[in-house]
Amino acid sequence: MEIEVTGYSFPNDIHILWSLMIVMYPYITGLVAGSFVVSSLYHVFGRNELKPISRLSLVASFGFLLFATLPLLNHLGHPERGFNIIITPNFSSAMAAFGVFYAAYLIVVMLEIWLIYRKDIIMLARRSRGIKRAFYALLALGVYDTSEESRKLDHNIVVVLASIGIPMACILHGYVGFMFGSVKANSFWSTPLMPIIFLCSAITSGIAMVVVLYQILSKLNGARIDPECMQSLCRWLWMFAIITVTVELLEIISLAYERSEEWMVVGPLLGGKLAFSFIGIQLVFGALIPIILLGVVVLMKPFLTDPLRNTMAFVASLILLVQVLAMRWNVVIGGQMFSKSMMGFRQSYDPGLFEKEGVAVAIGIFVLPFIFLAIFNKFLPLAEEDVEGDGKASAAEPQAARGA
Amino acid sequence: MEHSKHIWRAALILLFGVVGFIVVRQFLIPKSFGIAGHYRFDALAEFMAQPVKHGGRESCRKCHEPPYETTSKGKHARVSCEVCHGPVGDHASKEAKIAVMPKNPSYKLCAYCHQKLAARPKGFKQVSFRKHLEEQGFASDSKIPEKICLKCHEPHDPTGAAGN
Repeated sequence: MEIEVTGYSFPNDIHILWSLMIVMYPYITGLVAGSFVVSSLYHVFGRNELKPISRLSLVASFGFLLFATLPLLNHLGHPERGFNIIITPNFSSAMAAFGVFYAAYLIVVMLEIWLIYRKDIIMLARRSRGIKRAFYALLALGVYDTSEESRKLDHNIVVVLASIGIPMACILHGYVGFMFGSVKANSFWSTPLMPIIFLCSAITSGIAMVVVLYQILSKLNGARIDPECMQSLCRWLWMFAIITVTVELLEIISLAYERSEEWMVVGPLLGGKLAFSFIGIQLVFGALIPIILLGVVVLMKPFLTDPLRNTMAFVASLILLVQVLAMRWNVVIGGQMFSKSMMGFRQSYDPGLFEKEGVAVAIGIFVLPFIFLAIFNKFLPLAEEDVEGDGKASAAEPQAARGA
Repeated sequence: MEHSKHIWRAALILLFGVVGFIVVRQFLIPKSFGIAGHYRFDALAEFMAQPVKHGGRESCRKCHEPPYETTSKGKHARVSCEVCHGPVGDHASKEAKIAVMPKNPSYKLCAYCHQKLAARPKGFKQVSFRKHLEEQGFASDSKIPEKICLKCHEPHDPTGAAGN
């Protein structure tokens, strides 16, 4: 330990206390909100070309939601006390509101998934025997009604739930940005732009995650990746990546242009201690490259073959997932690197590999939603399958039409 | 409404869930919660009932007169023994030793107070550890040995004033 406090730091203000876990928390919550927005593009806004990923994105949102609070519980310790936020909420804290929204949003997403999968559940219940049948029958709540009327009713409720879900997803993640934006002692965080920055990057990471999951799932199932769906995802991803980088830069540029007192410490921070993760990863590698790649996909559509588009989208999405993680790191850890004196830097922070809040635990928590998705896929298909043949446009039809 | 049976069942389950939560919540809220604010009031009495662990410098004197005297004359005279050693309650009870008092010989313990920090009072002895060690002929790129401070400094009397 060599304490590298530089400049004029307050004596009790030299350690970075919010660890890698507090980086993972907004990252995973962002994926919740982002994936949900993608699924709503189909369910509410009628983007029919996104039908192949409508289920996947919704279940992914649910999967990430289930584990979103784990990093926080690990960071704070005593996870059993986490329930106190719901049992005795103190509404003078925004975190109490989070407990209510989190629970309500979980119910909305669960109901939506149930209604969307209801027909599949009934089909599977009819097909299976023994314990499996009982399991599916329980999931179907004992009602085997797949009539046109019941389906229509389900659809209408799904639209209502998704419509409620969009503002809830936005609030859920806007809240995370708000938590940082409302820390008035830290002028790097304390800006009303913070919730918007978090929300935009959440949607970017969510779409990017859906692109990655969709391509992996198609590969595993041996199914063809729907070109219209992928093209549409790239368009949305491109737009949100541009908006995200713009608002992120706007915040920094306004700080720099004002030459305010906080810029005297934030400027050297971004160009010095954070140069690699901010300029290198967040701006150049993480933003410039995928925006160019996606720009090519969107603007040069007629010249691209499907495999080329898929590869470019996959690479751009992976890079954007890294960019958003870098952005969370730069905000959470970067915001703690300088002393409240605004005239000096705190000790640097390097998460250990095997410590309680280290890299291994972070990876372990991040893998859990994917394990959940794999298990879910064993019981109910994540891919959009038109097994019942209800006559509506399925994912395979547009391809067949084009191929003819 | 003929085809909405499943919706009613789901709604019923949801209703049971919400009502169940409201009922269970009533049992989970601690009895003394909210009496004097947004906390469990009984916690105060529980904390007050906990045994006192710290005894101050005088509680060490009876058994450890020599280091007490050395420290009293040196620069650390105003630093209580328990600051570096830990609470007396973990070591002795009713003037009888119950456990070995831990010693922390690491330079990290010294760094808590003596690491150079511009915001500390001017008269307070502060050092940039690596620079200080370099001045003593220590290779700047090697790892700092844990007990390095003890080679030259006696923690009870770090400047040697008591012996003079």
